[in-house]
Amino acid sequence: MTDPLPAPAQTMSAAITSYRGYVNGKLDMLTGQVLTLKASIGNNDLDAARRQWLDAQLTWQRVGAAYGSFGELGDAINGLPNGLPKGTSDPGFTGLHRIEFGLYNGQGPGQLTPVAATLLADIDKLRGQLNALTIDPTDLPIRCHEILEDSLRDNLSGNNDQGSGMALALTAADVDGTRVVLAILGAMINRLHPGYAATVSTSVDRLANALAGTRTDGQWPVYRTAALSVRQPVTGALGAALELLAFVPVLFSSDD
Amino acid sequence: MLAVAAAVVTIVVVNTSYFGPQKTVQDYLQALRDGDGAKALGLLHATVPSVNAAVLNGSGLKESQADIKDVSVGKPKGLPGNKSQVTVSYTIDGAKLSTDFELAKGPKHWLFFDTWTFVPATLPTLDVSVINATQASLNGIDVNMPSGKNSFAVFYPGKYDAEYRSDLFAAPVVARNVTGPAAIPAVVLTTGPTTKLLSQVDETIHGYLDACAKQAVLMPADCPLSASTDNRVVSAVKWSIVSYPEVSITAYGGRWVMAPLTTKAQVDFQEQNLYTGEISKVKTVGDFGFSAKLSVTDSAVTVTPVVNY
Repeated sequence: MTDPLPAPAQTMSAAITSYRGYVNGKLDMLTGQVLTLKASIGNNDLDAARRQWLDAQLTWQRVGAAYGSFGELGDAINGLPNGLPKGTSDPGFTGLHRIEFGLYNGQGPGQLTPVAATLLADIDKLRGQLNALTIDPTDLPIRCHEILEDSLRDNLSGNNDQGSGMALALTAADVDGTRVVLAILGAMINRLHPGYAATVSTSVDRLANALAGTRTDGQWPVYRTAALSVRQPVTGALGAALELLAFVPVLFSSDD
Repeated sequence: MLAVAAAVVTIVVVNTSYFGPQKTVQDYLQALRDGDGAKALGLLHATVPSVNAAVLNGSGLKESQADIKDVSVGKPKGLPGNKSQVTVSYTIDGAKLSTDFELAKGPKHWLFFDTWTFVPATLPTLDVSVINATQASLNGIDVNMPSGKNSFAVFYPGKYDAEYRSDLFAAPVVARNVTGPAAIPAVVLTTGPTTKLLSQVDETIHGYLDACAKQAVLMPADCPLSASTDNRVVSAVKWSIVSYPEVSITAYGGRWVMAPLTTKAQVDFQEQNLYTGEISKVKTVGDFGFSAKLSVTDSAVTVTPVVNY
């Protein structure tokens, strides 16, 4: 991610405003990426579409802390087939992972163009609703930890892999999303526990380095076939980062 | 022999009409008119820069084509390397403009018919900034302007109207005609107060000065009006506002400020000379300066006159 990190906020209200602005920017970018993806699917240029799907999926991952607030639209954009009556054939399976499934399981423009059109419309709807969506003040500290917790649960377990095997790329994007929340909350975290923001950031940086180390010639390995020696540094660094991140919501908690 | 000749002619005609480079260009222009950004992108094989895509699809894209008239797709001009150039001429608001598209010949369809694809390019970017606002509108689409600026990927040809409109502040429309992938001059939306805001502030200032004028004293409290005399005042003091100040609100340092205000007022009273006992009428007109603080929220403005003694 080349975007500069947002400035630290001094109050939770300012943090939410800053985060909303960040999410707005990401959704704007996602719109362009999905438009390009739809164009490539329409052209039956599926190699390009696979690259563009990954770009779009990574942008969505970087939205990070907000996707719990998006409700049904969030599910429509990034839902999984798990629990749906017909699984991957279920009409309720839509969005980015549905396109991933199609692109990695032999589907073409006939099946995927309508999915991409619906995805585009859903993103458009979400952009329209974003300014009116309520983000609970407790959400940001919780999500600061949960983004990477979800990475462990969904990406590195293979739970959300619909064929691409891009768990490490998705985890790296989740690291970006976590860094954004940490940057916004940094000043408040330090007020509650001086120096803790830097401690957590160092740990997140270690994870980012471990992830970067898995790439070969700029390409992410397919996670399910990656050697244990490739995966271990990542899971180790992720575990360490999660231990430190788990304390962030506690700092903001008003419970005794 | 005749049948063979007829078949050849048919193939040539069909190839030119339905499979020539002009047809690809026409399809692209139609996709723009339909607001189908994905189809247009697919045809154009363009790279979308990582900027805001608000007008690349739907009504914002359709709107970009609304003022394009008299469209004429020219005959293809051969270029080296199995390429062809098609010039599209059109007018936007009466101005004659044109766009050159370069297309490359692809593999044949059904043995006889050509395919033509656009030579890939990157979509141009329109940079827009707006003074003292974080929202704007581009071709009727509300867009976010973090820190007052944003960049938008746009198709060509097209006309893009940027503006900012709210109850209290507005910036007039700035239009850019985009004819190709070359750089587009940036748009700066110069926001200013709306007539509604000016009249609201005007009303507040009038009310404030009128209240000052109702105070029957030489120096009304918390007011810029003041008069003095060395003699004894023996009648009621009557103030009247001769002219109210002209309100001017401008952007300064990321905020809205009001220029210093000056009002012309007249004071009438009778005074008695302390030495001679003579009573005379006093009628003086003077200019009185003051300032006012503006407090702006999304939907309301508060004006607080400030007097420095």
